[in-house]
Amino acid sequence: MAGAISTAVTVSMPLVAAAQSTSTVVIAQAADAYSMDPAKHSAFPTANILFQIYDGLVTQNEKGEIAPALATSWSNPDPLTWRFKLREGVKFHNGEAFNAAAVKYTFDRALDPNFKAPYYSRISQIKAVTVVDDYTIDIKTDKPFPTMLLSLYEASFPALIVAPTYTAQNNGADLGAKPVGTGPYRFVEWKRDERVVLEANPDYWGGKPSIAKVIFRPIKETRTRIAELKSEGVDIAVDVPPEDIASLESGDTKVVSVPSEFLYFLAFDTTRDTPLKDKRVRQAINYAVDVDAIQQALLNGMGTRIALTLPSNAFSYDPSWKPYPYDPAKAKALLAEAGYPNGFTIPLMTRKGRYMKDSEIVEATAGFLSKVGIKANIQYLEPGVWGQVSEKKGREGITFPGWSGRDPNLVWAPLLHTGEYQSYYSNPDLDKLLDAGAATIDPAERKSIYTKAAAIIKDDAPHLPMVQPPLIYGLDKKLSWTPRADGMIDLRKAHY
Amino acid sequence: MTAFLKRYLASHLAAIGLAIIVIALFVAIFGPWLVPYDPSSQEILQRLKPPFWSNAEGIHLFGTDALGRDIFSRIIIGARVSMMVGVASVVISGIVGVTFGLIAGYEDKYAGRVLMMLTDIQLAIPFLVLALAVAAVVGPSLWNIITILGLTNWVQYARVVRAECLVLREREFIQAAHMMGISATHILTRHLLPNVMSSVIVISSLLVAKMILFESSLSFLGLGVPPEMPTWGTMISEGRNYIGNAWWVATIPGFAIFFTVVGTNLVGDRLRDLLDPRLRQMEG
Amino acid sequence: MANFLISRLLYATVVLLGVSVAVFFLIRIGGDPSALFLPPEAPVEEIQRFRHLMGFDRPLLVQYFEFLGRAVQGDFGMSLRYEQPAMSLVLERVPATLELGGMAFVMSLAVAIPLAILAAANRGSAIDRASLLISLIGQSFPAFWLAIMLILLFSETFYILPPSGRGGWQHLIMPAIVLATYSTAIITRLLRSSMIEVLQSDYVRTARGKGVRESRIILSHALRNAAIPTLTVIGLQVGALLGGAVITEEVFAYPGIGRLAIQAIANRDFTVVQAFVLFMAVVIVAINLLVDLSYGFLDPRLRRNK
Repeated sequence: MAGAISTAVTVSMPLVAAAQSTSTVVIAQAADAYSMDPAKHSAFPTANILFQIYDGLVTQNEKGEIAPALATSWSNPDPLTWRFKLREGVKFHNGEAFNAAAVKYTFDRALDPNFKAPYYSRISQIKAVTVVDDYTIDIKTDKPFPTMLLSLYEASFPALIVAPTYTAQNNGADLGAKPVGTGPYRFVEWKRDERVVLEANPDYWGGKPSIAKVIFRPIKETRTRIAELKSEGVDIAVDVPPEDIASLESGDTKVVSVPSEFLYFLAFDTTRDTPLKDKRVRQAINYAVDVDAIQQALLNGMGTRIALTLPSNAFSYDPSWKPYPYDPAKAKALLAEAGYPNGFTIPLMTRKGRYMKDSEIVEATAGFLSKVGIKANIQYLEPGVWGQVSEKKGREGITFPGWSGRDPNLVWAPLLHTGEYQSYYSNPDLDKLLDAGAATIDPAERKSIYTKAAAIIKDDAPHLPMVQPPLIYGLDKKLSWTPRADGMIDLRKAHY
Repeated sequence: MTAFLKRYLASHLAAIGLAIIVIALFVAIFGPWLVPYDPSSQEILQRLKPPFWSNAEGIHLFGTDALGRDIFSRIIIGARVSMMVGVASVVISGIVGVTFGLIAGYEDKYAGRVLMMLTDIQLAIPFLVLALAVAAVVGPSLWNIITILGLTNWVQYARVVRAECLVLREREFIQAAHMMGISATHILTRHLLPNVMSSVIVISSLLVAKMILFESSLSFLGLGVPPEMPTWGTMISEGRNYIGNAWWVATIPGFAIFFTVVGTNLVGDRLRDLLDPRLRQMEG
Repeated sequence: MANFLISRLLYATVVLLGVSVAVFFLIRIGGDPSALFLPPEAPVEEIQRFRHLMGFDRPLLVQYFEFLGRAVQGDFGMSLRYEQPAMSLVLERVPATLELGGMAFVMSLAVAIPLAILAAANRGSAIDRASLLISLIGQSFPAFWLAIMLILLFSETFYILPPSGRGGWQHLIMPAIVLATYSTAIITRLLRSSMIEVLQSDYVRTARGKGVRESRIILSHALRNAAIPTLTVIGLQVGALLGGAVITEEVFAYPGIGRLAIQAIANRDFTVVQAFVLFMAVVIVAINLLVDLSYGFLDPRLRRNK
């Protein structure tokens, strides 16, 4: 019924002209850009917009591997040096030439402490950038830095390359308002909270993109995004709930999804004197929660179940790793063994609406815990308060922090190494392995180190690993576009 | 009292309003004995089932929500929490506002001026912004929400009570009490307060309705009461993402709020007509 | 009269000062945005370094007086997120909110005036009761619930109206309906009761005695006289109405000041919250001042009580 009406009415609708055009893609995401300066923001929605305008030295290909972008190749002359050969003949949108000086300028600017780059810590391992010749640069570190390439691709925001002369104008204010990059799209206009409009760059080094015009619109309310998609006001709607997939798979829309490399897991505070200090209690919680059922029910079975807190596409992830099975009887037995036959009460701190289905998953988890006698008092902290609490190391009981990172050194080191800001766990044996893994760039050696670390983490259960949730996008049926596991939107290859 | 009730019931709409309120209060008070299921027990594999869906354990009159909890039971327990938020926050704002109003109306030189200035400051800050800023900081527990709502909605009491006191204190009996050396506290509580009570009752009955709506707005903005206590506001705001495929999850609590607020407003309206017709001009 | 005006202006200044104190300290109780602004893996030292660079670690009183000193010169500081002057971020969104508010106001009047006239002229009749009920219903929906229901109906089911954004008049209809339901209710009820009062007054009775037609009495005498008290109460409601706008703008992704304010609070973007609250306070205080002044002109007795 509704479908019949829709086809009849949409034909004569002038107000949705933008999205109906086959040369334009309108993308609805939750928030607007904060700045057009890649080094001046800390928000993914902003990064999605800027990635169309700028390029990094390296990028990620369809398989999720790091691939050449503005750098064509790289090597390690020594463990503390990364040497990049740069692409020749590339020009910024304003005609400035891209070369080694531009790369040096970009990093020197963002690494200057007074510049106050919010994502400073992503690139802070870089100690110096030196120009070898016009199209060769060396990036130097103090210590071996195995994940350097992940600090240089587009999800490391300040690593997007800016045009030196233009950026220097007006102290960067020009760049913040009217960006100039080397990317596939040129900036047209930005009406705050309304839209960012971009047009294809015919001279793009990777070939002119097929879509002539791109519009990003901020729409926070999920229902509103879906309504826009259905009424053809937008062509890509991010974060569609799994429940809406069926209705979007019909008519003029479709759904594409990919398991994200994001991690849903529960972290246990083992620093305070609570039942969670006992390994058996942590294992019991792992047995008590039916993660498969949660995934099946709340995520429509989508996403990837993880055995340890590490994305399944991460370095050293082993598909033979198995999570704890759902076994409430075993959980009760372990609790009794640990001295809590009647369970206990524990706070469960989290944020609400931060990640897809986060509050539902947390409440479902609390439901499973209550079945083995553990009463979890859910506290939803407002994001600002969460930040304050975290800074004071004040997360108590069980938490749902959310994390991402494609290498154990980006996940386990910050989350589990003794004394780290995000770590509420301490295990000297694990610390030694994590230190060793960070100190070498030899993949084979790192692999064997992290295999040992994984065994410790599995047994000592500082986390309850859950899933890599899916990223679900609603699309115009005619549009061909592939989503990426890291959540970045790349329109370089999109076409109708 | 019966004469008043008779006069009240002369309006059919007001009678309907009263009936709604009586039902809502009954449900709120006796809720725990009325629920067919534990409102927080989950069966996540039986989620988002439509109204009248039944299984071996029985029928789910209003269906189940996103975690497979019984919506009917949650609506009933939600009545308790929502009414509590409405009434308790009105009591707080009433106490603050009436106290301020009485003092400012009786002594309008120093304390009175300062209090009126507070009123104007409060009035100049958009309520939701104030509530959001504070809720963000103190965390959204049930009593925090009640206190926030209470402390951001007292202005109307203060204004009305002050205006009435300014008139009352010129009356002979107050002047006489003053001459006889009766203490200010005594005059305020024994002579002025009873005379402003009818306005206070009217404002309160209308404000309860607004507070229930405000609570739902705060839930929508992510600062609702925590999950173990369902309120109608959090039920709508959490169910709104399912509205395209499971309309009942958000729609049923929406109607619960709607009928309760309509009922409260009808009662408040009638009380105003009977007790204090002048108040119409000061509606807020 | 000049004295009266000056004392009111002085008073307004003190109120604004009070607002600035309240907002400055309230939004800072929960700490500063350093931890929120940096990526989750940023170490504590990094957060502290950033806090120091931004000057958030200085005593609050020092920060307040610095803010006040600049604010009186019209400098409300830079937004942390946007790196733009905070007040200009607020002001550039005012036209959108005014457009929406204006549309809603027109809609309200279009419904409320005929409804109130019918009700007042037929007091106690079925029409009167119906108008009362309609206005009650308008006041009884949670705004966001109504908004989502409208989107579901007009955008998702019937594809008649665009669900979000700003552009043509079509974009204004649904958000304006949501905003208008609440104010229609208030206006109808106020206008009705004021008109009933005017219709009972002596001079209306005199006019009737002289044989002036009832329709003329209602339209020219009653409506005009009832409009003044109604408008003044609406003036006092601007703050509350804006509360509705915050939620409406959020659901319909409408680029107005309410949405900016919500985001700024969530981000702890202090300068923007301050600029927003002070801007709103100036608007509200100015309206109150006008209301006071008009009372003063209309009814000199009230001046003594102030």
